[in-house]
Amino acid sequence: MSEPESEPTKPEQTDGPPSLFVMETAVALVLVAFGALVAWDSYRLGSGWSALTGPRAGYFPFRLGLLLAFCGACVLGQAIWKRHSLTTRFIEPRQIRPVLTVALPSAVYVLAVQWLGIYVPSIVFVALFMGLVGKLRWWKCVLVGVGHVLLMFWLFEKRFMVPLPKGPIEEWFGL
Amino acid sequence: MEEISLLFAGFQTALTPYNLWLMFIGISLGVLVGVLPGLGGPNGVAILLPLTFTMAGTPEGKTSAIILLSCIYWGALFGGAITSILFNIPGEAWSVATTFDGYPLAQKGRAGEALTAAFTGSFLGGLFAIVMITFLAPLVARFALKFGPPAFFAVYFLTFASFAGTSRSGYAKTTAATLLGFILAAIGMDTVTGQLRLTFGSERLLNGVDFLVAVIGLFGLGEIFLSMEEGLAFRGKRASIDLKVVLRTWREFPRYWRTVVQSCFIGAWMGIKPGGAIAASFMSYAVARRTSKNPEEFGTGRIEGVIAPETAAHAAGNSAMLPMLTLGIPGSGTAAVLLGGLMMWGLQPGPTLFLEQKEFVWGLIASMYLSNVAGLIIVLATVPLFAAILRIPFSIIAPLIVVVCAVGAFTVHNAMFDVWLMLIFGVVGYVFKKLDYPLAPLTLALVLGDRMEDAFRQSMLGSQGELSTFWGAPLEGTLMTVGIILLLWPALSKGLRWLATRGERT
Repeated sequence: MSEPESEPTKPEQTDGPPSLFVMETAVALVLVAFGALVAWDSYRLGSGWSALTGPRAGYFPFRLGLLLAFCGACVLGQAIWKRHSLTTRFIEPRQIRPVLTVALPSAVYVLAVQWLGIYVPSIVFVALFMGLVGKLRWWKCVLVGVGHVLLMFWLFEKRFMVPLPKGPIEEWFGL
Repeated sequence: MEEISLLFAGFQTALTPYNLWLMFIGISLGVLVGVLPGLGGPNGVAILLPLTFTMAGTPEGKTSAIILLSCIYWGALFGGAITSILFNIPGEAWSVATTFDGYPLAQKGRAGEALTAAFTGSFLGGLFAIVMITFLAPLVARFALKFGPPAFFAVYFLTFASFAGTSRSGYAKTTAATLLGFILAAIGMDTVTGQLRLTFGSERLLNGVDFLVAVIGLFGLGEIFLSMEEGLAFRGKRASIDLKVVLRTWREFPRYWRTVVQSCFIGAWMGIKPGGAIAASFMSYAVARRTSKNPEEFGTGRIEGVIAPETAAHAAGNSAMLPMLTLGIPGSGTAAVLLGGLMMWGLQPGPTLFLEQKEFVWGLIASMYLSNVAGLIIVLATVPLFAAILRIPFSIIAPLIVVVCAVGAFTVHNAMFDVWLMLIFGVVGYVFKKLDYPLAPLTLALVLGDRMEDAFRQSMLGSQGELSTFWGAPLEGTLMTVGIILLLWPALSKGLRWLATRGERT
């Protein structure tokens, strides 16, 4: 999947996006912390043996948590061991913009769905993204934006009777 | 030959106009999902699963629902080849090996031949696997009926051990991903004691983390973020398949019988084991090159180089249904989602399925024969259409896929919280893919976590806490021992090699 070895190793960088080493270490530390948290919470619940139910509720997760923390520590150790071959960047500076152009609007979109239901934010999100990122003609944006929402409404609410999130605007329409 | 009569009954179930229509829809959607970046087998099925809840209310409805969802899987298997050959972009991980010779063929203007060969190989591989399932599955199920909880735990253990032992991502990362899946599965109310686990006081985590939400985020959104890095400008070759090209390719096809046969066996074998289609396609390509008279021509546009990975991927994808139906252990990520679907419809996957749900099981197996034929016809007829879909700018496809993912995540439990979770899983999926953490064992662990824990607890209860129960009978003992060997295999083989080289030196 990733091919950091095949690329020529760049000299240590001081600014810009983090190197693979930094990311590997960070994720490994998160795994250790999460594993410890899981183990602690399961220990609190009871991770031993009960005469009534056999293994208590925390029995399995406690061991899983400890193992996960151990695996995280191993990844951390490997990263430190191989740190000289992990100097390539996690992401190239030119790649950050395109990733964020879809990641940030997606987050805003989900936030909007929370307040306004799915239909209106979907129209706005698709149409704006097509217009601003794709530089497509406005009528195409409106057509796809409204069209996919109508299709969704028919398929989910009418055909399969699965309700989708609705907000004040749909209420106003009496849906 | 009880199987034959059951199979014919299955054909009667599957051969209704409604089910044939669902087959057509499923395969078309599947090809679409396989062609589009950001959507794939696992999350395509995951997004459509909630739509089948109302469908699966009746026994016949359950059969129809599994036909629809499994056809999406077969369609996705076919669809991956289209992008690989025409655009040099593998639509699915299992069609990466198809690009090696498929794209050079397309550059030479032989895209039509390459596609026909790929589809035909896929068809034969699929057929081989289905015939195998027809005759082997009832035997395996009958055998597995004798399994007690320790044996089931041993089978689960073997499954995950073989993942860790064969993964290209390395031990620590594969195990970490698997454990993460188990832990996520443990969140929520404990079914035995009723206690709340790992919810940290949040009511929203009461029902746990649904694997569908995780799959949609990890595979769907994560993949979109990854695709965006390259800005994604598709520049593909044109392909027109007419009857003349198809017939010419078919006339030459018998020449490649050896490649087809060995790929069928590799695929069927790899598909039964977890890890499945992806490994099978690479392995089959490597074997085809090694056994070829002129291996140096591979990579420049050999038809065998397309047939081998596609045949194996299809054989593996289909035979992944064997352990899923008989043992309740899916052989691939998509099969894991299908298995999750069965559980949501109230079916108990495992050996009893063959006894108690005869109509369902044989309806599905019969539909696999039919949909394999239907799939071949549909993809041959619609390649230009799907190639045209890939020419749609990514600035239209990307937001639409985000919307589809959001809808898919919401409809699982009608909960907005799941949409947020999906967003988080999207980021996690992106980071994990970039750092080479495998996502398939995570999904599998998330789906199987509860069942594996139940098997463990029941065995422990039965033995009063003695771990030796897993070696208490020959069956369990063998399974556990094989599991441990598989788990330690990379280390063992390294050690053996080290011993061997040391022996040479002295």
